[in-house]
Amino acid sequence: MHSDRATLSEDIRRLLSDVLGIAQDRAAAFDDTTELFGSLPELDSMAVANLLAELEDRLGIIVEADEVDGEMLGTFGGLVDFVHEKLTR
Amino acid sequence: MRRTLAMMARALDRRGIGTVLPDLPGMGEHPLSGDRVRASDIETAMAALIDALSLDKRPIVVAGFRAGCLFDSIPGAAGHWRFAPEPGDRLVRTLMRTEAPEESSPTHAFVNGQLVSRAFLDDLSQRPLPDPPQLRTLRLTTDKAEADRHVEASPLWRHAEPGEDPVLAELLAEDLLIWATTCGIS
Repeated sequence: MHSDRATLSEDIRRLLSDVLGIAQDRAAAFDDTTELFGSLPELDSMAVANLLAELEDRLGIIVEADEVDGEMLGTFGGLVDFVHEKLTR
Repeated sequence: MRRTLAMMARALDRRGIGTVLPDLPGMGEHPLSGDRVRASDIETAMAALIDALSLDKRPIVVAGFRAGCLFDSIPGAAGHWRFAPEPGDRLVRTLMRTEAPEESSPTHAFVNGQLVSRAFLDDLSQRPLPDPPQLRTLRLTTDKAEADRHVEASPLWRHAEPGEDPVLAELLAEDLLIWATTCGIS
């Protein structure tokens, strides 16, 4: 059901809003170039742990430690691409 | 989440149902600090709590939340009720992602801002959710795992800042009240 990247992007915007406690309209403005880790003050190390856990719970994926890097969490588009590849692999 | 649980307890009180929200070992005001806690300490504390509550012969429904459900199977309870239960391996997986190696040691991991025994973490990671009788389970709609009811709410336990959700507290209290009635508590 998440093979559609646009639908997946919406789900991840909502997830970011839920986990980081940011307003939904702010998350709705995230596009592929929006910078996340290092630029979004709410996204500290504990928030990353919670974000990954919630991704696993909601989407039924497993994120290994060596998969978490700057490319995956650097931008919103990078995060969506990572999850999309996981789901369609 | 604990603030929402306290709101839920007050909502149950208004409906005539008494509740106990304990500080189990390693939590809140409990004298046993988190770095010394073992699973057996929590099991012992739960058994002692139930023994004390059973003295007046009133029936008890055990309500478990998140990883607390790992310790919620109580023989003799009139019923069991869970919200968003979390298996031990998932809890430990999330905690270990926060480990600060420079603060950790061979015996203890510094996770989520506190020292926790690696023996306790190993025990938790291998602990399945119990399967007690008379069990009702609620989950968030975003959690696709099997449940008796899925409810729409934000996962408060993932938030960095403590939050509360009075609507969720009322909903959970009402659901637990109905389940308690089903289990023979009136």
